[in-house]
Amino acid sequence: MNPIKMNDSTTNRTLNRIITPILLIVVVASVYLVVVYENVITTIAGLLLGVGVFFGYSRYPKLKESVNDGIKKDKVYLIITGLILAFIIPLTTRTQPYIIHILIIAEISIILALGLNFQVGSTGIPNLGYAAFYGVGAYASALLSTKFGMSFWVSLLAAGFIAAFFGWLVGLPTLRTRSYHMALVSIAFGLVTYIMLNNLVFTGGPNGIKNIPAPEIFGWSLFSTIRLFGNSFPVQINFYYFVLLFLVLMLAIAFFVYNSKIGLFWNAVREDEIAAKCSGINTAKLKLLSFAMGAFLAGIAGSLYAHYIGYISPENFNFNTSLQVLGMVIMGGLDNIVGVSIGAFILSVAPEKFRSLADFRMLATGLIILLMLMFRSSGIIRQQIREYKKSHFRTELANKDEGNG
Amino acid sequence: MNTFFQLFISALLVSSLYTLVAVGFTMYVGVINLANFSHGDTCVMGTFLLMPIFLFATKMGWLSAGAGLLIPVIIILVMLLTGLWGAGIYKILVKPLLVAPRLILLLASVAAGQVIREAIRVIYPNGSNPQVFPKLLPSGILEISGLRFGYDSLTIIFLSVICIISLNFIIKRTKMGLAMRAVSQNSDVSQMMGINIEKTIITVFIIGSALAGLAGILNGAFYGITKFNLGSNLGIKGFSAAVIGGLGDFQGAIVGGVLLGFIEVFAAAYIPNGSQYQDVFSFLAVIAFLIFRPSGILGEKIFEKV
Amino acid sequence: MVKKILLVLITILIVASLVGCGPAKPAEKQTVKIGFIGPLSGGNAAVGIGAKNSFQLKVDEVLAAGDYPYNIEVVYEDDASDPATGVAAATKIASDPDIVAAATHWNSPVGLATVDIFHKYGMAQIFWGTIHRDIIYGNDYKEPVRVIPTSEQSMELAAEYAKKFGIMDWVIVNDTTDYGTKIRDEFTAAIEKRGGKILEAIGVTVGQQDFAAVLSRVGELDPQGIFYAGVTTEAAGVRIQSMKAGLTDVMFMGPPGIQSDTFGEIVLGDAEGTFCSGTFDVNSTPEGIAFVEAYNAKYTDPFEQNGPYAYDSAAIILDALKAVGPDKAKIVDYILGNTFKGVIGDIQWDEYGQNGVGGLTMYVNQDQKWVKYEDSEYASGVRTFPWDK
Repeated sequence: MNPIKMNDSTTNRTLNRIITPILLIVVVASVYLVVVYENVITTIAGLLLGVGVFFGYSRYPKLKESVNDGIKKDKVYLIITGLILAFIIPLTTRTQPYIIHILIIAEISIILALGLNFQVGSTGIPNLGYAAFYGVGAYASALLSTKFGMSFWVSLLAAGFIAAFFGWLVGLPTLRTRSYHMALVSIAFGLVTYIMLNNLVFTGGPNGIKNIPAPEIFGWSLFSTIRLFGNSFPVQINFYYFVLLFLVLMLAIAFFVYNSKIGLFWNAVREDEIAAKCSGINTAKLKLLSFAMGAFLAGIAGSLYAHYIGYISPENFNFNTSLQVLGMVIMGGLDNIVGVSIGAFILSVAPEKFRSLADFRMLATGLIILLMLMFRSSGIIRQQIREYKKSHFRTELANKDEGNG
Repeated sequence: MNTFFQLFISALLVSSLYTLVAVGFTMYVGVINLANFSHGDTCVMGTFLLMPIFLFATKMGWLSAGAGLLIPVIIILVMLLTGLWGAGIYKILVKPLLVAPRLILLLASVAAGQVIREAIRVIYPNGSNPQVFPKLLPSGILEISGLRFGYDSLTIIFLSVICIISLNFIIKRTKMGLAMRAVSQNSDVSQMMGINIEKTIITVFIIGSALAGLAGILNGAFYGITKFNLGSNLGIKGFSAAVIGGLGDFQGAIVGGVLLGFIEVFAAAYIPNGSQYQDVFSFLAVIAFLIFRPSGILGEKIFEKV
Repeated sequence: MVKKILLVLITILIVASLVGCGPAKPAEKQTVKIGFIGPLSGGNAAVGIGAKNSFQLKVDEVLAAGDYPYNIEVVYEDDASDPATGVAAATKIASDPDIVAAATHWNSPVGLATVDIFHKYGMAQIFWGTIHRDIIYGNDYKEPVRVIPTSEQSMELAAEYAKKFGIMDWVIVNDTTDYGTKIRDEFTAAIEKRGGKILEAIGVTVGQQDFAAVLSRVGELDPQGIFYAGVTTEAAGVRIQSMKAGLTDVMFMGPPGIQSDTFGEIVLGDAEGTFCSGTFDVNSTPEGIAFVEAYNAKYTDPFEQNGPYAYDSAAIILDALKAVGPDKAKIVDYILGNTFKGVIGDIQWDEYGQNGVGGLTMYVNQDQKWVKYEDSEYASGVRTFPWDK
């Protein structure tokens, strides 16, 4: 008989349940303060808030414990809070289409980074030409809808599958070669794609493709302004919610894959390919799958980008873009979906925030990747240790911490 | 015939530049199994180190006094500096990451290349634009029965051949060369045999980077310009050459460099509209090699270590 | 540790708020914002900064005169020559309710990407640098107008001079950018209109250094002239290597893209007698000379080719603002419906919003400098070209 203790643990449970979403709201609020307003005081207030949360989290073991507990056991609350926030935020900035534009680009970047994470993070194969898949998707979608009059939905799916096909193709040499060979193949593929997009006539050459139509949902174009209760909303907001749907879908897919056997096997390939082979894993098939899936996401992202901006040119898809996405993955945390999303958000929003320092943009990307790799190669959020409640997999070959360096 | 001959000289020129870069790549892979993607940017580092030194020498009036003597001295000085630079890269970047998974090291070298490139662009005055590079090579044209040789191309080809031959001598005939070969074969065993691995690796980095610096300087001097991002192209081509020849194999780098140079020049000349697809040809060649013969022309078959 | 960091942050906060909340100035005139977008970073930053300075110079001059009814604040944004960055910059400027008009872009792909955005927000967009035809002619928008003349006019001039020298068989070497391919097509049309011939057009890539293969083909074709459609760096490479390959007695000409003195610095003696069908010669009008003096008194960075056009873009925006007040729609209509006086001449729009004047000039390289052909020693007969032996 110990009612007090029981009572205690129930309050704890409720507390844990609440505290995590609250913390999420505080973190989002601090980011909001930094990103949305263009003045020194709110920026510093936002940064202080963020730093405060971070120190609070790392200094108070109790808080840390209950947060971790909340994340582990009550994911639903966290996800719902996140979705509500993602839904509300653009409504508060509807007078600033520029902010919503930044958020859309961030959403597309997260989709891109999730795709690259399949290869670099989960499977451990370098890919330095990822922008090519993004470009293939964007061009496929743009060409199908401008030259062949296909609807957005057909173009989108086609873009994903065409990009996936190219991913599979580029993945082929991985079957027989080592990681540095793969780095070269991917760079070469990226450059060849860039040159071809630039030189071919049907891709519009260096001038790219313009007048790409906006997506239509049952005949309603996303470029139409919504008016509600006497307020008119900028067209960017339509796109924001539209891309958000895809983002949520892609995140769900990424989590599903991560938690499935495929994710585990990918990790096995990364840690020790020969051992994986010996354990009966079809490494060839899995490597190709990681390329095809990563490219599929890139293709979807490319299609969304093309139909949002309405204009694409080869310049959008050069080596620097590949490096940017790589930076997102490495900064966020290899093979950690939440981390990668955070990395993608930071690296796509920060350049807009520091527009006056644009000259240092690529230098900063390089430095971030380099310093992260040298001093914290696990990224912002460390790769999680896999846990299986009813262990199908007795051997924990998947996730050793040394894997992060 | 005449056209063919001119193309041949031009291909030799391009080949020698690629070879100088490829040698470094292949040696790194040999001793520490690392594809150093910042190697191409070391070439450009050489050109940007040379320009201020040259400018200074011109200002002091040393150049008018004895250009013929001073230019080789400056070039050798810059080669030494880039060699030290390479050693620095090893000490600061590569060595701490040798314990990490190879993927991390590979990505770090890519990022280091980007940092070097962008740092040059931001730091060097007006660095975004192409820089006029001093004309270090003898000008003029040697005409033998209608065939025209530029003295500058001949100098480059000659210098590269000298470098390769002396490097071959170092590798084959000296104690250091023996150590390099031993480390390439098996670094653990060679350590047990009393070879100073650290010293050997640093020597390899110094030699590789000095040759890359020379390649950059010759490239700049021949074409008259240098630019912060020239290294990414030279680096990728050099690495491609090393892969075609067989990574880790010294002679392979030479064979690969020559082959790549010839593919590039002749494909551009003889395939209609080939010039704008020049890079596509060389990359397709590399990809084809990686699919059908990943070990390269001279490389041995790859066995995976367990 | 935590305390220290907090202390530092609080100090920053206090200092920043002190700086931010300086004494408020007494408000006399209404402040109006105008926008400027160009490549302020990246490979084309020199052009962008020259244009930015010229733009600011005009604004300063107008405000300094004292009788302008508004205070002007210019919002500068960077497109980094990158369409994606340009779109973000354009969204930022065009959707800002305080900004009434903007002068934009040097790169055509960026211009193509942003023209829809300005149209969507109904903001006047004055192009000071892009030359692609479709930016103005590919839509029926009222918002975009262009001060800089099209390259078509420039290529007409080039072909005119080619005819004058009797050089009618040309090989074009073009880079595969939007600029190079466009110049190639326009020069081809202009030459063929005058009865000349393009033996072949050969594409090269930007960043390519070795042109031996290209030039061996050129040698086989044996043309009277080589036209390089692209920009300075590769043009210099083609020129140097063509002289080495023995193509010494052909005419060499390029578009405005090679009109930089860097060409002479790279090519040295071999630059002698090459042609460039270039842009407006600022020294040809008194207003132009005054602009050069005022600019050089204030800035050290050169204004590059596009400075005068950016300067005039500012003049147009300020004139329109003065006439109709800070109303975006009225400014659009006013700009399209009027002519303006600028350093490049009297700016007049055709029905699409393209300026017709802008003083195209043919330059010849003399002692490593581009000199207006009519003023050169070649025109006066002191020097001769290798092809008229």
